[in-house]
Amino acid sequence: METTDLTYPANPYGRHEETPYPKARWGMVIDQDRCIGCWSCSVACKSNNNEPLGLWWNRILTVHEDPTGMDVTATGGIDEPVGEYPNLSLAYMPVNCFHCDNPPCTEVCPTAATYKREDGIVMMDWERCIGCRYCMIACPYNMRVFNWSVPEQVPANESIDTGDVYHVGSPAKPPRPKGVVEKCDFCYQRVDNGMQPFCIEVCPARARFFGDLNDPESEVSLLVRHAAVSQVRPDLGTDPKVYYIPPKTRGNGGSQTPIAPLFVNPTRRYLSGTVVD
Amino acid sequence: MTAPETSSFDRAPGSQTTFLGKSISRRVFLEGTAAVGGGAVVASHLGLAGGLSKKPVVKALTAASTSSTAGNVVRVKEQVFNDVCSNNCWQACFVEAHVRDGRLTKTAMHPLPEARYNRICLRGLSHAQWVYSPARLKFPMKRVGPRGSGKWKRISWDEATTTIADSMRSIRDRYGSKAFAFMSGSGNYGSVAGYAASTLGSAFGGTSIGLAVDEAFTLGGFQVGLGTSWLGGNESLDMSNADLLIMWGNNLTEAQVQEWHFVADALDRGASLVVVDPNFSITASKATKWIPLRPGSDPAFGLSLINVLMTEKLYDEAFVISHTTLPFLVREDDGMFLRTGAGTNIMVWDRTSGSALPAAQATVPALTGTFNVNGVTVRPAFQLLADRVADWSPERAQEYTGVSPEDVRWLARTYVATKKSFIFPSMGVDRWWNGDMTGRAVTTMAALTHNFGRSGAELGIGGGAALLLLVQPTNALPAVASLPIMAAYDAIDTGKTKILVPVDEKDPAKGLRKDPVEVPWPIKAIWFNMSNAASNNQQTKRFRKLLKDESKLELIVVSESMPTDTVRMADIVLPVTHWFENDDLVGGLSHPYVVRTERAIKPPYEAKSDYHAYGMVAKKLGYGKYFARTERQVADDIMVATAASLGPTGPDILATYRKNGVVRLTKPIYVGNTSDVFETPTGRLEPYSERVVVNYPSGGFIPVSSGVDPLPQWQPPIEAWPTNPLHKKYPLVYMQEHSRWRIHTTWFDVPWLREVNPEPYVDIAAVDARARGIRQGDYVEIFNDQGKTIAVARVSGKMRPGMLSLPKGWQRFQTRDDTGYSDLTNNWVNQLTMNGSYFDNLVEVRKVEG
Repeated sequence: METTDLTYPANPYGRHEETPYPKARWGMVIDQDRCIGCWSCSVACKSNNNEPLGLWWNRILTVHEDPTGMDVTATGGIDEPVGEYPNLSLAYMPVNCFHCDNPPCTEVCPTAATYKREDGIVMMDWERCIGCRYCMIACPYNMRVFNWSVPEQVPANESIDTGDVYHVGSPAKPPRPKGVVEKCDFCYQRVDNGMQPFCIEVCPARARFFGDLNDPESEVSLLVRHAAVSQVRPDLGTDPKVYYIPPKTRGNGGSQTPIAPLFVNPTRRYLSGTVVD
Repeated sequence: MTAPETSSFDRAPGSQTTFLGKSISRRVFLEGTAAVGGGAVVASHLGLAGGLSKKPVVKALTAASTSSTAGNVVRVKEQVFNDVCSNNCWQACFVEAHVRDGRLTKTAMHPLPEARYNRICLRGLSHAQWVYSPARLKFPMKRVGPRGSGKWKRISWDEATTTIADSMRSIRDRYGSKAFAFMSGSGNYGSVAGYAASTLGSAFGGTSIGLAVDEAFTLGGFQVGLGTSWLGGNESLDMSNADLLIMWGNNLTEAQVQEWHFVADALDRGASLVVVDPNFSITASKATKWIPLRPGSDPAFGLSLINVLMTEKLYDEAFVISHTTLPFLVREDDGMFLRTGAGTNIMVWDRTSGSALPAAQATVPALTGTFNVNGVTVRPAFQLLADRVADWSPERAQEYTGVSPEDVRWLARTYVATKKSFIFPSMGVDRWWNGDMTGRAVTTMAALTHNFGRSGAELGIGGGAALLLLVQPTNALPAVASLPIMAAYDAIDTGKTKILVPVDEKDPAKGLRKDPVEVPWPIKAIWFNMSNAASNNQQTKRFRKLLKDESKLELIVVSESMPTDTVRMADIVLPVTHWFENDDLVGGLSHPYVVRTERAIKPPYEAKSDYHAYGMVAKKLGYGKYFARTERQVADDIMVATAASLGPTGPDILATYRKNGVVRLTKPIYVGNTSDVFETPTGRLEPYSERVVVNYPSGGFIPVSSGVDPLPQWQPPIEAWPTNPLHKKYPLVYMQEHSRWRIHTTWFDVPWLREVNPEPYVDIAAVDARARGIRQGDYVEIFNDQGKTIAVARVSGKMRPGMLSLPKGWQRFQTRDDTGYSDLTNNWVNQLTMNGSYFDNLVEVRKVEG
């Protein structure tokens, strides 16, 4: 056992414009060829950030040509391959806030509750958020979620023994009030202290990368330069800072029975419903 | 202003004791860059490891002053404990239990000394929801309603343990001590917990009821030479060294997500992945080639592959001659090897001298032919194997497997042409009546081609590592009498059961008789721990009927933390700890470490550890001396004993264990068998053996001289096969696959996981659904003569037509009709394997109206 003294902002709900790395531009690369859609990153996110039941900052989409793959609880959506037995393909797309360089969400927020830090992280100020949800409409990627009611957590936010306020996850992520928007914040408290976002740290497939896109030698920069990455809907001009390495098409190994090639670039299909070049 | 000494919300990376970020993967994968083709650059070729490390996000940048926030911060103490996720996925993930104010706040990956073994998964990240589940069992309870009604009243630990001790005495007086049985499942790999159950069982002289799972494939493989036990094989990271990986009945992308990245690493190097599976699993979606064979036809597929290896002479002749039993001469009269007069040397036919010689003296042993030696007709075992597979041309096998002859030939040739071919079969092939035959066939393939025990060229189901369960220090107590659950049903029902008995009680070397004998073995009470047998076993319908029958079982005790199906049957419920609430240690099965579990939080309510629960009863029966040590002392003793047998040695072993929380064993049992000496009676791989090994009694075998056949052979599935007349009435094969939402029934009620996977569903192929008017999302009833269960239909393209799969792990109260997925499993018992053939079932399905 080790004991660690932790420090965190006295008011984690408010504004946190300062970054210890103002010259950095944080970004993420997700390798869909390695990704097995296991949801470990999603559950990690949920636990570290004390996300209420029903809300996910980080979800795993099964790649469909049909955008209904967005519904994370649809019985038919998850894990459903494309094609007909035995000519099938299956790919996953983990999604969280893309931390766009030109975020439409911050443009429309009437209270400046959502804002972009100098290091590129798109933040939420829960004291200013009035729940108008303009940002949710503005986000072309549907990455924001809303507390329609008082957030419900298991375990509950009080101790079962003493009734003290208690919550799972980082001490910097207390329960949110009803009526505010939430989303991925790249675990900025961890990042500010030189740690990776929690989803990166846990990925069993080692399919997720995070780092400074302004550092040409960082892993993410190397991948963006060399790994044929793509952004989702670059035509929108948002310049997302989450990049995808598409699943690979594997040969049929010399067999007489070809198997269907995997998507070459599924990321564009699932969101738009049509292929955008 | 300078930055505060620690400004971290979580633990700063610098505080990690061992932090090996990326060095290993960088080195390994830079070596592999030659395999990169085209423009598809992948991360590992850039030397990047991806997630699962605690590497810092920045290297060169220095944090700017944080003085603006430094005056406005709160300090919080957070404790981080070394713990292990201890359930039956074998992954033994080393985790950090984060605790604030005595409460578990989250679990996180704890780095292992080798970063490539770092691991955690969605379930291991959910512990807080289990530990603080409102459904946790809180107090000892005594049943008040009829058995199975779920009505209890709270009692004290003293009353509960006195009741148990009194019952044990009374049953011993009336039926003998063996009539009180202990059943420990796989719900906790903690060695102290395991020690507790087995020690009381041994001291008292009870029966240990064993599992009947994962035994068939591995038994068949073991007979040929697969490892010391079924955990043969190189350590799992060696998969990344393979050039061809064959995943056979193995969906590790769901069942063991922690190991997938080793496969992905191999793929990034340019390796091929072949997946043999009737359904389009997530693993199959990553394959270079997916071979969708007919369910249960695996032995036929294996025989056809051997056929190609032999007819096209693709085997490694030198290895076959020197390291397998195939050159040995087999007597036609009794099937045993021809031996010298004294009986010690096994003979081969020496082609140079034209005579039978002891194997060591022959220069050019014959592999084929029929010979006469002193009036005895003999043939090399190779000839017998060749004769056996001669009927299994790929063309004939296709009638059974549905796999095209081209694919069979391609796979056999590729298996040999690829220098490092690694077969990783898993339990999809084990859940069948004929699983042992698949084990024999697959292991024979590896034996013929020397894809065995070499780096990157292996046959294994992973791990081969600590096997800590085997090295618990004994108390010089007699081994507990054991009985597999499949045989225990009869024992409970009739007081008698059928078992295989020795040919000669005084000489175990003579083996067992071929036909089972009925012996008296009354079972009048069972104490379950770390087991949810009423949910997970084959034939749960029969089992539950027996459990409910108070005239057959006088007492059922269940030690549990959650209200499982088995708890529902209990007369006495003992609330026991979650893994983070007691001290223990766990041996990795797919990594080579022993991992320590620290008590991170106080047990809630009146929960006690298994060690304390058994200890309290032991004291009341006069066996208190076996429970005199603290839990931590027992764990330490187990660590020392393990190190003594498996290394490392040295005086600091306990200090290392306490400081780091992990110890890497230096002598894993069976990693990289470079000696080519195998743990078989002949020291060679035994595609032909003088014995047919059985699962029970443990270590038992039947000599081939009694007429049993040691070669791989075709056996149809016991139920789920088209020639079965039942197939007309119940045309669908029914399996219960492992999903990533649960591990057996562990994690059955975790809200985060249930948000994505809320209730039981069954996968059905579109063509089968259409034929029955079933649509996506309909409630359907799956039924056969054994039972029925209701689930939501998921019409899935992944399913092979003619099959249903219901991902397992739900409790009855979570189903619409209070049923279990195992209620429909077949009623057959395989006397040789004593293994549940869970997938070997035929069912029909219909839409439920309303």
